[in-house]
Amino acid sequence: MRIVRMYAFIAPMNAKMPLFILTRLAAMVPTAVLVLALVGALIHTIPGDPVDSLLGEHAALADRDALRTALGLDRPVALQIYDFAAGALQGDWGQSLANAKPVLGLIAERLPATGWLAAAAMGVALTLGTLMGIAGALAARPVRASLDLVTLAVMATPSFVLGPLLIASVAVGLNLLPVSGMQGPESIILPALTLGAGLAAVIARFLTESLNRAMAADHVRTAVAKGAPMRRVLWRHAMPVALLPVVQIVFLQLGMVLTGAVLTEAVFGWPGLGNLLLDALHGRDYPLMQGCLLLISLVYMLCVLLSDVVVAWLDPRVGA
Amino acid sequence: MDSLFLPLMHSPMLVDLAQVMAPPSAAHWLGTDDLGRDVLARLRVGLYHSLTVGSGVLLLTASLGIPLGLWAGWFGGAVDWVVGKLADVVLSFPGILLALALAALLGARLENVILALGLLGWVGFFRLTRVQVMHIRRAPYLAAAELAGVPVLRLWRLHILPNCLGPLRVEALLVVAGSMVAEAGLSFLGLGIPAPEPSLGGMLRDGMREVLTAPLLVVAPGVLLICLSVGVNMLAQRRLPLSARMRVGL
Repeated sequence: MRIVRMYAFIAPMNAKMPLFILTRLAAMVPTAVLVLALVGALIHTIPGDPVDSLLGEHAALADRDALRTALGLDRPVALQIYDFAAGALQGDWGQSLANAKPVLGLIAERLPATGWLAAAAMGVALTLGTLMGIAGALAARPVRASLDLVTLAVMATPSFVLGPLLIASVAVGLNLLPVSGMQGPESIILPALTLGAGLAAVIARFLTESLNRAMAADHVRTAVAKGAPMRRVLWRHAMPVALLPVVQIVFLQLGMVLTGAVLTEAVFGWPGLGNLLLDALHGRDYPLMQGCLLLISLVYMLCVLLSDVVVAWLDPRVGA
Repeated sequence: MDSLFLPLMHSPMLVDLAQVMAPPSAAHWLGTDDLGRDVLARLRVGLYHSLTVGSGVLLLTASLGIPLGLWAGWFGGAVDWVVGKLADVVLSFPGILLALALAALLGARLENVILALGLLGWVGFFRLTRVQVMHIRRAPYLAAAELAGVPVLRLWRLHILPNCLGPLRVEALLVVAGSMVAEAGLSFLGLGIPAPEPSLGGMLRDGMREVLTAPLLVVAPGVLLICLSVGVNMLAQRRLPLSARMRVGL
């Protein structure tokens, strides 16, 4: 990784780092517990009975009671939430109501597809974002102005608009790539582009802004005055400073990519976690719903934590 | 003169099976969809629903967040701690997912979309108001007013709120843009505004089925949604640093 090499001289892993990570992890615990309780409480705080929606309003009383007992819904709410949380911590995430398979297994089945999609989207975002960001700071004025407009438009374009537009133009209009589904490696291109475009625009705008600031800094001016070649000034002197806020944004947005994947997967029929969650929502499959929400929010929180840790590691001024 | 504006007056719900998937014409400026309904009319009503959600969510979030922020920033104490922790939890949760789940559990209705988005969106107003209050409070003229015995509510109304307005106005624009896009997302997934009623997201989803034959059914609501979102974002962009702009969009 180029970034790591660039920072190697200023940021050796210092002795306080493990402690910093531990304290941050500990600070995450209360939030995680609250999220756990919130997800567990979702069913119970919403007006309407899950049994009604599962069996219909005209089901026989005996059937309703049987299902209620089977789901544990006849027990006190606080106890149910506690049971859900305790089970979740022990790796028992319950069973899907639709097909009685364990929730954790269903999630594990779908996780790789979402992982690939997110990784490909990150690749797209980093490549396009860095290129556009550098161009936005250093290119000629008309290029910069048009990049400004393009990135603003892309940032404001939600994935469920960009996706269909890409399908209409590239897959149908030019007949180049598959419309949807996951067959063959080329089928990931459009979903990854859809999911990564927004982040690419964000990275580009941040990089442009912080690169502009870095290029005006004293140490860069000194390097230029000493006659260092432009390439060296950019990569050795300006970039390490300019990339810091960008790195933080990238890691913060990692969680957003994961959430954005839900919509992107719906657009392209991608067989990942997002479509699993949507199936659960539409089919009122409460345990599966809880499991998906819990997993996604935990990963999201870990991404935020990761962003803090990475920034503290790269930037000695943060003081880990 | 009347006939000139007649194409603008179509009913958005009128099914006309003789006119299925008609291309744009003098009678139907943007053509018709797979049930022969006028696309322009559906866009018009969809836009109306988007703006309803945007203003509804704004009303809800502002009336929740600003008073709580005022209270927490001024008095501190238990309210500050509890609401602050609640805000942290909401922020540490991927917002659109919670909105998805809430909207799905409450049932697909316009009111529920506003409720789900509002219950998540107040955090921005709360934190912003709280920080502003704590900052403004340090000004000497406030100490003077307090010592002169001006009642708290009057202090808030005359001195605190007017000085918070700048950032709050930007936040309001961001909330409107974000909730309109979020509503379209929910409707796209079938969890927002229910089916026969037109919505930009629902039109996009329906248009996806016909994307091979009538790309306009996707392009028209898509472009309108982008214009809405870009427009409001540009309004907001004039007034705040980049880092605060991050929470818009999906």
